[in-house]
Amino acid sequence: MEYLWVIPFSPLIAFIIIGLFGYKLLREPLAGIVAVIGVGIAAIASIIGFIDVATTGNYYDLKLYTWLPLGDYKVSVSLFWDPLSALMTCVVTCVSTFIFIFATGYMKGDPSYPRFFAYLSLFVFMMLMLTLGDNLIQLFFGWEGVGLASYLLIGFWHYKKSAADASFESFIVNRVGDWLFLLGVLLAFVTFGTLDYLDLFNKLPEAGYWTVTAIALLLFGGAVGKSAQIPLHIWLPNAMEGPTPVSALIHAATMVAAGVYMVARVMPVFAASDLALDVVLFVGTISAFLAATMGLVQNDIKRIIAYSTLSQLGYMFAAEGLGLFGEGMFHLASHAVFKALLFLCAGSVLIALHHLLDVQKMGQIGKYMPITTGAFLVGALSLAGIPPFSGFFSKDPIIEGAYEINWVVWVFLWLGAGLTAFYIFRLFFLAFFDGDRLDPHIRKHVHESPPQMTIPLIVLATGAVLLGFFKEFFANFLRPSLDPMSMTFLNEKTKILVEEGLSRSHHVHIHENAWEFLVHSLTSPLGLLTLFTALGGIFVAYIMYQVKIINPAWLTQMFKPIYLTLWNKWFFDLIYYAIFVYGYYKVSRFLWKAGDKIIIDGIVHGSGKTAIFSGNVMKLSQTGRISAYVLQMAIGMLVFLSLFIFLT
Amino acid sequence: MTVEFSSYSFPIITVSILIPLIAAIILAFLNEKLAKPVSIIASIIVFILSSVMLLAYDYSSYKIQFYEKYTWIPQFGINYEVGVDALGLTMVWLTALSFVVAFVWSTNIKHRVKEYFVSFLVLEAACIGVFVVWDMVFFYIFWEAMLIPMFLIIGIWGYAQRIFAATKFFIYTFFGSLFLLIGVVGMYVYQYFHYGVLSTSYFDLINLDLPFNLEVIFFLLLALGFAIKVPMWPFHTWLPDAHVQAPTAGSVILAAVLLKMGTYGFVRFSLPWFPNASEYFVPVMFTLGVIAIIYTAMMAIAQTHIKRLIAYSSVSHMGFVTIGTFALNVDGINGAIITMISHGLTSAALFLAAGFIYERAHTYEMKELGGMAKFVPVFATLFMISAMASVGLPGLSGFVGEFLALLGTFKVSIFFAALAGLSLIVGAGYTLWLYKKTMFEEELLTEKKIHQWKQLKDMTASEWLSFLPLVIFMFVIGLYPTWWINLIQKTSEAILYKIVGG
Repeated sequence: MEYLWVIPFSPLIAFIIIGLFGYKLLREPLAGIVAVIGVGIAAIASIIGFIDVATTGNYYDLKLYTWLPLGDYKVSVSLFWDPLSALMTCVVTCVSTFIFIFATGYMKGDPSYPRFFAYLSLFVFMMLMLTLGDNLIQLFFGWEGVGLASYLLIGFWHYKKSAADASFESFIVNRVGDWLFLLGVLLAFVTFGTLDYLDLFNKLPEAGYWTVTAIALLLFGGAVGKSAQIPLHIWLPNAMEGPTPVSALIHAATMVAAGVYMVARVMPVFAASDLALDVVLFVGTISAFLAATMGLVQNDIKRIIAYSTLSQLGYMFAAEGLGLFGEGMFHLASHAVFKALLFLCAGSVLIALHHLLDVQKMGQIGKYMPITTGAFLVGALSLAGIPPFSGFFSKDPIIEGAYEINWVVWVFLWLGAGLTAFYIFRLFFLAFFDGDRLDPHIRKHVHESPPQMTIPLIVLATGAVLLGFFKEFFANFLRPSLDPMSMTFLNEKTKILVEEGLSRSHHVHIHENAWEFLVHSLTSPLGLLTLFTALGGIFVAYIMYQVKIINPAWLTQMFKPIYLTLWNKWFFDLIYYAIFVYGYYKVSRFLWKAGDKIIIDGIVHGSGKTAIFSGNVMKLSQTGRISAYVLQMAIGMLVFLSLFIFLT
Repeated sequence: MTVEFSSYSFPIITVSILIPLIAAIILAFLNEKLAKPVSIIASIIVFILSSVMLLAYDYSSYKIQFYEKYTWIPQFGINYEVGVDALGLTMVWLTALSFVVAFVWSTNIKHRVKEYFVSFLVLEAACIGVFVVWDMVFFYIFWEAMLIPMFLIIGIWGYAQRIFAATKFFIYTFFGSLFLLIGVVGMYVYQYFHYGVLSTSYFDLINLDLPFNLEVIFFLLLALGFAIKVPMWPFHTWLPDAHVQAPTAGSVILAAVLLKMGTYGFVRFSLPWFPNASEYFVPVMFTLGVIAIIYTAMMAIAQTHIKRLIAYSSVSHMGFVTIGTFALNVDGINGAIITMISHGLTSAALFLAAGFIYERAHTYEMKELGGMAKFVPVFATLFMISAMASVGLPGLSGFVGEFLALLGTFKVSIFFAALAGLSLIVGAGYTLWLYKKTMFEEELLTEKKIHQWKQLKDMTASEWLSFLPLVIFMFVIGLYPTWWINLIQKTSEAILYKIVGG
């Protein structure tokens, strides 16, 4: 399995080549081609590796070199290849390959074309370091690295103030999560004396419940930041300032799913603590629901999809919190495909409309862009959870599982599903069909995108149609990594501990075979309810935005307070801005003026001035006249003599 | 504690101190045009010597290596005694590197060129001296000798308010050094009265068995001297003023080398000499360290002058060194030393970046800057790498030190580690703010500015050559810290010998 090192390092080599020679030698389109080759090699290597673990069910732990010795423990740079990391790696490299190909068309003519592909390659390298590490430090390295790549790519068009602000915000908000994550890593190291996953898992039974809970929650803090869950979600919608392939790759398919992956990766740690699982469940559910409500009223095509990403990530976390780790990871994979598809379709639309973002100003573009429209429809149906698209097979099990475990969670997830169907079809009708709102000047130029953009759309759309039918395959594939009884790298004690932790989902029975699940959904009341909710959402969107029986403006007026709350995204952004941006800056300015300038420098300069002042006063005694000195001497002697007399 | 010594076939340390001094003397008689090449050559030789030492250093056990000792005033027990352990060695190496960088950078000095380079060469000799001597009289001489050239550098080649800043720098740090002197003299006297020995050697003073209250007093006297030099909050206000007024190369040396002397002092003297007092003052030092990290990060973001911002960021980073040192465990000390090296690289690079910007835009004010990234892409890249190393991105040097310092602190106090860890957020805040305000947001610029920026020249050869080694070593330390940890491991253990025991 030594060839696995190719996976992360071929994008790195592409990054170095483009970084050094991008502008001078390669330029457009060679820089893009180099990047595609780099990630393509990684994709092929990871598929080979994927087939290997799928057939043998083995796991491999390759240590490349020791990065840092910490006493007896050595942090190594390593490749850990088991079904879980293989799946994530394949998702990352395959989706990346298509997005890279799409980007060669999307970024055409951009003066910074080589820089874009350098950053993208860097991102893929970092993401693979994250997924492939066998210890938490390497995970953190990748974790921060993708944060950097995300920062650079959100701010890719850094001449825009909005882009510079958004990139700044994303880095800082991510760092809040990273802070918690790093503390979690430190606590884990101090507790267990190791950071390698396998040793860590096997030492789990030695640690106390609260320690494990604290470690799990701190690590989850990092996931909340990286995966943009409430309350650290605010950066993701703003991150849409980046070029659309970036939104598709980083802010939908891969990086933001890193949190979900991380929780699955250290699953035994979370499973060892009910409280940690409950927190994951709670945060995931709230995010799934709230983000869906925020998506209802947005008008920016990319932001609507961004809110749906938040919401879907919430579903994944909810699945993990429910103990359905396999379902969560399957939803991650399926979401990566259809969300990348949705974003790329949005990108295709943006190219056609010269970066017009407001869906209220679009309309009727469906007939000019048949491929994009068809692909978008597939993505939207998949997101809404309509059979037989992949979203149905990955999302409905989570909702059904929730019903059998915790009905409150189920209510939110079920409502969220209806909202999801509504907002994505609201977008679909507003942008691709409906009346004649498009600016005639733009309309003249609307055209279908070139093949290097439409082919990835077709491939991903095919994936979104077919992937769901492999449900059973993926469930079996992931079992050696996520089912405690099949996890060969755990010792008996840990197995029991993890098994107990996941007992909340033991009574849930979800049909693993896709056909059986489909039949079950179409015959059971619960399945039908979920399905009709999604269809209902689509129907409401249809009558509101296509046939216009209900006027949206009228609804807005009717429910103004609710509308305003949603429009302002539940006021998170405003409150954060007031406290952490404006407040922090003002307090800093105040402290600088009061603390540093007045108090500290007041004392420092004051002592200097006192010395000068006292010198000036004492100077007066130095008159230069002998008579004055004699007088001073006489007074001095008098004082000392009298002291002498009084003291004895 | 018994210390082993090993000497080298060649008096390499003495030569390293003498080369800059001799170069300075030669320069005094040479033409102005030769000032720069001679200085660069001298500094490169010193750098090569220090690198030779770095590679020849035997880190398998704790020994004072490259040791030399010559008698000077035997009546008072004063000897010329030099040698290095890994702490001193890494600092010497960092000093040598920083001076190469500073000399290569200094092309645009037009005014009193010869005096400028002479000042720097004398400064280099004094700085190296501080890190290698083991005799307290010589230590004090080097410690103070360094102030004079630095005073001149700020006062002559600085900006508008240079005289004020130079005076504040000089008097403030001199004030601190006096307490240091009192402390050392006190120990010397104590030694004479209790052991009947007259010696100013470090290795004799370390064996004093001080009563606790005396230990506390001496600790405080020395700590005041070091704290001002570090600088620790609340003794830090001289630093922003000095940096703002100092010429670029002066800022580089100030940040990369001079600040390290304070933290070097803590690690070298306070911990081994006063183990009980050090333990006693852990809560105080942690508090001051954490205040330094967070409070000065807030100061940094409140600034509009980019050099002042970077100056405050230095204080913030030195807070990590403080808490790492006073975690009193091997991880903490390792973290402190690596942070010292890393901060030397990153702060030097950031001050070079500020200098680069000033030379082109002729201003340090944020509101007159912005949007440069597109016009100077190579510089923007190097600046970004330096900024990322400074905010502690894994893979670059900053993370290694901060991680180890945090780990050391975490083992002692989760509370302080959590607070110190906040620098992950606030540190990224001011650094990226700086970057954004200088490099991004081109659309906010006026037409005139854009026109002006279009004329900008990207990195010149000398700017390249001075930036490059810093960036390379940021990667070297960040990607393969094992080598550096192996190097300093035994030294860190030896420093903690009296606290945690053999």
